[in-house]
Amino acid sequence: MGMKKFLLRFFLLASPIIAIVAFFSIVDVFMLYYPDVRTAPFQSIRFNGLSQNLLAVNLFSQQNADEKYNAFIFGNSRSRAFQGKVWCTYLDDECASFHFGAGGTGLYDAYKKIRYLDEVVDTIRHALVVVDENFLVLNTNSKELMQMTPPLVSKESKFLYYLGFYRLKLDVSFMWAYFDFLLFRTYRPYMKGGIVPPDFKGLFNFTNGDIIYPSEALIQADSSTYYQGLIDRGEFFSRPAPKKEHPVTETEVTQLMKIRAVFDRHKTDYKIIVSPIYDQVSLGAHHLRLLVEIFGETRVYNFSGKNPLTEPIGNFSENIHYRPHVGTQILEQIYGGE
Amino acid sequence: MLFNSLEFGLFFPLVFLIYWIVLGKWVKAQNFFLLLASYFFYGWWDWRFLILLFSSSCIDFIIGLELGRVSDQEKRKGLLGISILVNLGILGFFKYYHFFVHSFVNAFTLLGVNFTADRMAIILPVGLSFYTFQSMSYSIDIYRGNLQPTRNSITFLTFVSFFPQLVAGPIERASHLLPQIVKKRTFEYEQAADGVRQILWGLFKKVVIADGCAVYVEMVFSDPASHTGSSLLLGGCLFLIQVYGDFSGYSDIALGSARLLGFRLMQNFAFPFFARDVAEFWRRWNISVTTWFRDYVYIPLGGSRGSIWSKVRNTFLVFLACGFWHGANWTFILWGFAHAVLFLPSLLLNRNRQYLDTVAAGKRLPSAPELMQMMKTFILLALVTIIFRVDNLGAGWIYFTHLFSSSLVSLPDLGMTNDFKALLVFMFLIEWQGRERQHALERIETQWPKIIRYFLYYLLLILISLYAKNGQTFIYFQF
Repeated sequence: MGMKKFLLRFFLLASPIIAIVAFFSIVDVFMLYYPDVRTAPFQSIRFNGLSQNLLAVNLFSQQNADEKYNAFIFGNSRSRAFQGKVWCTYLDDECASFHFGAGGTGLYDAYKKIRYLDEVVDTIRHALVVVDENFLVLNTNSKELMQMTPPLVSKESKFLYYLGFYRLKLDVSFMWAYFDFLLFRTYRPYMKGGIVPPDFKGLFNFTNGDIIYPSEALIQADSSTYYQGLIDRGEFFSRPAPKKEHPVTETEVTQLMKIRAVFDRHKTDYKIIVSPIYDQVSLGAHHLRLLVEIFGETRVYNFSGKNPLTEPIGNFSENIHYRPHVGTQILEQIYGGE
Repeated sequence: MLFNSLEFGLFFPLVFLIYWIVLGKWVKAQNFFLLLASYFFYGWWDWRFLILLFSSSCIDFIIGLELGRVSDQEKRKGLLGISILVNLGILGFFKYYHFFVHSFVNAFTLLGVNFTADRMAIILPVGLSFYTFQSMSYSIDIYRGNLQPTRNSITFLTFVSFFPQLVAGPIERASHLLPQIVKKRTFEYEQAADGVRQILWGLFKKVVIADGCAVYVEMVFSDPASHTGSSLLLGGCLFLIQVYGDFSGYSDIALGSARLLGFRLMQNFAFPFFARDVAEFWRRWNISVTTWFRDYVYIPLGGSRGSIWSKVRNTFLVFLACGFWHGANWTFILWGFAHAVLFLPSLLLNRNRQYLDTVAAGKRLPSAPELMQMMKTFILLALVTIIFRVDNLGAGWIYFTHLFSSSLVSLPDLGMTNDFKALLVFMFLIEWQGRERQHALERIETQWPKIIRYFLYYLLLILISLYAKNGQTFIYFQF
């Protein structure tokens, strides 16, 4: 008797939560199981809530049969400076690039994706692996849902991955903004972080996974106002920043060697690019030596530390990311002479 | 498996339903199922350490049986010695190996002898300090004649591994928990509903308060030199609130989960921020550990009987041991020492049992002197707790030199949001109104109108949802 009363009351108390979970499952706001990412109705509503990593993996798995990708870019959000379209101009005519990088990810993510590609594509003809120290030391799957490597690639628990998204759906600030937008179709400033501003549309390339961040449009419209705003906020701290040592781990060595093995098997023309970062801290000597030992001196391009690419603040959209034109300059330096 | 994780959110309802609906009629089956669930819960973190949990439990079970059988005092002493040696040996190896090797090497370096020692990579099993102490107290209680050994291995293994309190306490006494495991349990609506309320409040304290404080705490402790004295003092206060929210939140979830399964675990926190002096604080803080040290260390040493010198010695020994139990670092030992220093005056002046009641019992508000006493105690404890948080003694020195500077007389500037300040006030208010109970939301069913109660439940759920991150771990897991 007591148990029945308890379960009934508990169910009543939880019913709003159950209703919300059911609603979001039906509308699939995070596009977890939407069959075609290109026509998914909610991608325009909440971009920030979509996992870029999931979006990239879904896009790849849905389009690879048609597009027959053969050139791949790996890395964290910094890799976004490299646009597949530009990269292909330096490669052969059959180049079909796909941007497989995702924000906040590390070597684990790239390693898993390269192993996945080894299974599902005929050839990995070209590859760009864009690294930095933080990237190299991330050797396990991220705990952050938005950055986590999707289970199709990681081969980790599908169940726990999808379950995580259900918890996100119970985020009240998101729900409020979501229903407000759904009902009134009006973007309000408080929605920032939950709902995509209207000017964010169209920046994701649904053919090759490239993303151009909205800051690029702002810089091009009025660069002096943009940078003055960042300077006033103290975004551009004094540099070089203090160096933090991260030791090389066995996992890092193993993952890099396995990546090399896949590239060798596919006879891949690959380049390892060490990102130019605003803080002007050079990549740790142990990490650089390891990259050179595993991939060879001619494959590793180090742009970290103080150099002409890291000097002007105009090369950065804030203190984390370098801009697409820097990516193009790097590609020119690498491929220009070939 | 963390209490604030999705895994637990699925695991516990499943255990609850099977436990009551499928196995409700058979207590032995319930116990066996609880044992399996507890091992699954622990093994989720790292299954290899199940071997350690199982083997240390088996040793204490066998020693308990032998202690019950043997009457020869010397043999009994020997058996107890084995139990203590095994439990402290496991604890010493996994928790203190690095500390001792490091301290040894440093000591020789000071004497001018330089050598290096090979360090093994040792992982500290989660909750080791808690379950070894629980298991050890079983043998001691049998040795003392306070307890009859259990002859049922499942019962004993369930006692040691009972998942709600396995990894961070409360450390239960066999005399309290074992009878509850043996007897048939019936589902009681009031108990279960109150358990859910306690879980809800525990989650709020952990997810909203403790994890919210952690952001500001990390800010000041990672770079104390760049903050004002007042900000560092506020950082210390926030860290004390963080530890409380984290650990008492965990305890509330543990107690609430146990109540849903028909068990009553001991209260581990009794609103310690409303203590009027340090002695009262220690009667209200981490009660299961402090009473463990009282019963198995302080009293055997002579307690507060004997000469002043022996009182002082016993007080320092028990606080140093308590500090060392928390971790293998000189900062924890210094933390224990500082608490002994704070505790000593009230002991020597015979005022350590001055406040046995609850502050302002039966009243809405405290008097001005009571408020001052509580604030003074809180600030003192916050200052001492800084030692608990810093990485090493050098970092502690830097923190305190910057804290006690001219900038102490300024407004703190940690950029705390008004929302978070309001949440802290909210937590203190709810705790204040429930301070005479076992937990803050106990008995609100009978005292608060339904509409306000449900408003509070949904408010807490919304706040937990807003602040929830991906399973932030609990501070006391490391101990």
